[in-house]
Amino acid sequence: MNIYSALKRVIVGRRLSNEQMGETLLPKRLALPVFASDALSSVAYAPDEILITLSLAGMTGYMFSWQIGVAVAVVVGVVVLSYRQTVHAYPTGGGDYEVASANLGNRSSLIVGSALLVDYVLTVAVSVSAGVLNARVIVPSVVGHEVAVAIVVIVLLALMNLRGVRESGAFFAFPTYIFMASMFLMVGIGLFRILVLDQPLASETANLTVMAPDGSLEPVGWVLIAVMARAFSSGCAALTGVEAISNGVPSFRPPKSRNAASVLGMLGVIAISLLVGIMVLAHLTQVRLIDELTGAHYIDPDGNAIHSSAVTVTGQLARVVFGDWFVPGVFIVVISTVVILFLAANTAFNGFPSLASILARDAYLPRQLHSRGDRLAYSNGIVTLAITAIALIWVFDASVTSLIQLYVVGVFISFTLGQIGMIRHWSRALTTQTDRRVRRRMHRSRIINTIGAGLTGLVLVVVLISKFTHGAWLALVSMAVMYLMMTFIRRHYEAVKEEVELDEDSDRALPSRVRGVVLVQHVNLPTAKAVAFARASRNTSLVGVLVALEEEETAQVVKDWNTEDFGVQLKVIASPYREITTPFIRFVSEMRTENPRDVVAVYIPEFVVGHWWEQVLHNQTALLIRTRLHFMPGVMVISVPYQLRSSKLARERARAASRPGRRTPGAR
Amino acid sequence: MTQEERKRRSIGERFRRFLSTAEQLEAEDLADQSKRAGAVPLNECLIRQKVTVRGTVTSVTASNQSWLEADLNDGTGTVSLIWMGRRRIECILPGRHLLVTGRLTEEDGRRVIFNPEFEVLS
Repeated sequence: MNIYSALKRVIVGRRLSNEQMGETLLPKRLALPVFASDALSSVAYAPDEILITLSLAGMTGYMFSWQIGVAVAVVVGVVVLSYRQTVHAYPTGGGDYEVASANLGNRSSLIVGSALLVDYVLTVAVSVSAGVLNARVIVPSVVGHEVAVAIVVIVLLALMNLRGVRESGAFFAFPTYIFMASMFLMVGIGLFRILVLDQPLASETANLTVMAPDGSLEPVGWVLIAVMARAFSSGCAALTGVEAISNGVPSFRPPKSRNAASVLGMLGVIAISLLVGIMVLAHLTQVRLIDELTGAHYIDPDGNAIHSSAVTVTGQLARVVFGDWFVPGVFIVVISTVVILFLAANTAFNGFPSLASILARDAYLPRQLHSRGDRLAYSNGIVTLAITAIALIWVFDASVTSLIQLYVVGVFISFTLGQIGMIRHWSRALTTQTDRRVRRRMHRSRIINTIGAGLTGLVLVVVLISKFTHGAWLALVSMAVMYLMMTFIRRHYEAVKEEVELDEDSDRALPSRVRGVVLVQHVNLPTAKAVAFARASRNTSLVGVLVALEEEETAQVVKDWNTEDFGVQLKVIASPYREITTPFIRFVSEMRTENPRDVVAVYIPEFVVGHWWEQVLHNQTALLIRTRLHFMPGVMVISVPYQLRSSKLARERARAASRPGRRTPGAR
Repeated sequence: MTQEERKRRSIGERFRRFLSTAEQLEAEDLADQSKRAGAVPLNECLIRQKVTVRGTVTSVTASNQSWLEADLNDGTGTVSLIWMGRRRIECILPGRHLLVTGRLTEEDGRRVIFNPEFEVLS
């Protein structure tokens, strides 16, 4: 039993065969939490970001808080409706990428691809950071260690996802439902107490006055509009994650499209009602938030300035609604919020690898990202995502407010292009469709997508204008980099494919002569094996080559060679600079240049060892020679392995690993 | 190569040597030594001519056949030396410098001197 494979199995789980692939499909009740947790969780931080941005205008900004919430909710509604059309038309899980590539061409699809890739990374970074921020409400000791905690969470999520989609789905379903229930209860009870019981509920920050940062302009006219536009853009973070469902359609149980569409519908209703509910409740309880980094600050009723920021909206509301009569309620709300934020990051762990895999299939990303790992999850994509997200959190110090400035841009680029693609899709479908009922349905879909495209396009412009200098440029730059990188990768793959393609003029002639060379360093078992194999291969000529390093040693080897009587000549070549590689390479290249139709076959005896440290001790010369010979045209390198006793261990390991399931009794 | 000789090089020559590879420089040195020893550079030798060549042994082939074969490189080319009836000669080792004299012939497209007289220089 090997410790590594045992450890891997404990952490990642037994690997699944191809036949088990179907089993990773999700029923609706699991699909909702898996794919909707991202969109729902943004409800936990979108209100915060709206309020924080509004604080830039001081107290004036708060007069518009719930209207902005409603505006965001409208956008959510329209986008959800539009996406319901997409999942029906493109059920293969390409989402906007596929829509764009089918209707708008390669460039648009690549833009969508890079935008979404960047946004998935940001989803992980933002959600995990927001989760850690919320955790401060109940675990104050987190303060100061946000980055470390966030990184640990990402690593755990990555491990969980390496286990495969289905199990993580089951694991995540429960907390998501708790979150939905507790949030609805909080909003419901809060509104009930204020509106029906007429209780004067006020949050802990209600009696604080927010002062705009020093030196900011008077919040009137355009300045106010600019602040509101930024608040709206930040609030649009609530939309991220809607696209996750359209990318995840293949993971649904059949009928896939219908199930995905109904989950989208449920998601839309839940997200809108929660968002509006929270904004209204925050308005009624007068929650005030600031971003201490911008210089905005509170002034308490006694006239003292407070520069530290308060806890999140969810935390404040939970304390107000449950704090005075049902303290566990606070904990339930906050804990479920934290958990669902981590689950949102998990959505990206589902979305990113499958998108990367599609891009890799189209040769825009390295091929390895296309392959599924032992557990039928796209292991390489998961690892890549985790590493980049950790880097982002490290750089931005796990600050949601800084990260959110980069966010949203990518999602809206892909929304807009996806919707435009859908309009084209319907227009094209209408040219061939004759059934009137179907035509009417298509017309309706096209109108929905047109409204969607117009609205998301408008939001994209607003987001770009209002956030460009605040960090959105960074997101755009990374998208451009991704775009260029993917174009380059594609071009490279295509060039290579063209280069190695067989056509009519390709050289198919057999080599006229094969001249064998056996690299001899000692006269021993591996060498004898290599010579035996080389002789059996019936080369046109065969010679053993020994590089003379030390005279005595060389003489000994020559003597041994003659005693052994291999029936093969041994050529001893001079090594004026005491090295094996260069003289040997030169010897082979001289053999090569005499006739271009000739092929030189170099037989290199190599040790097969059981441990990595033995690998360091052996085969170094052989490795070097092999690498250099590979660059020489017309030279074949044949490695003749000799299994050392220690390699049996490694072989046992490999055999145990390739055997499906548990070890069968009796097998060694 | 003595100090005196090095001084005589022109700047252009030095620049060319600076840009040459180590292999080219070694070959030049060999050709130089061969010229100074009064030997004929291999690329100027004619087949069926009696020649004197100075160079270094790049490889020695020992076999159970009854002759000894060694390759000699003088910086301008390679010639195979074959001593018939000898399975080994103690002083013919890879890396040695030799001055050999014999009749140059051609066999299978390579230049060969059979049973050359030889002098071990270093």
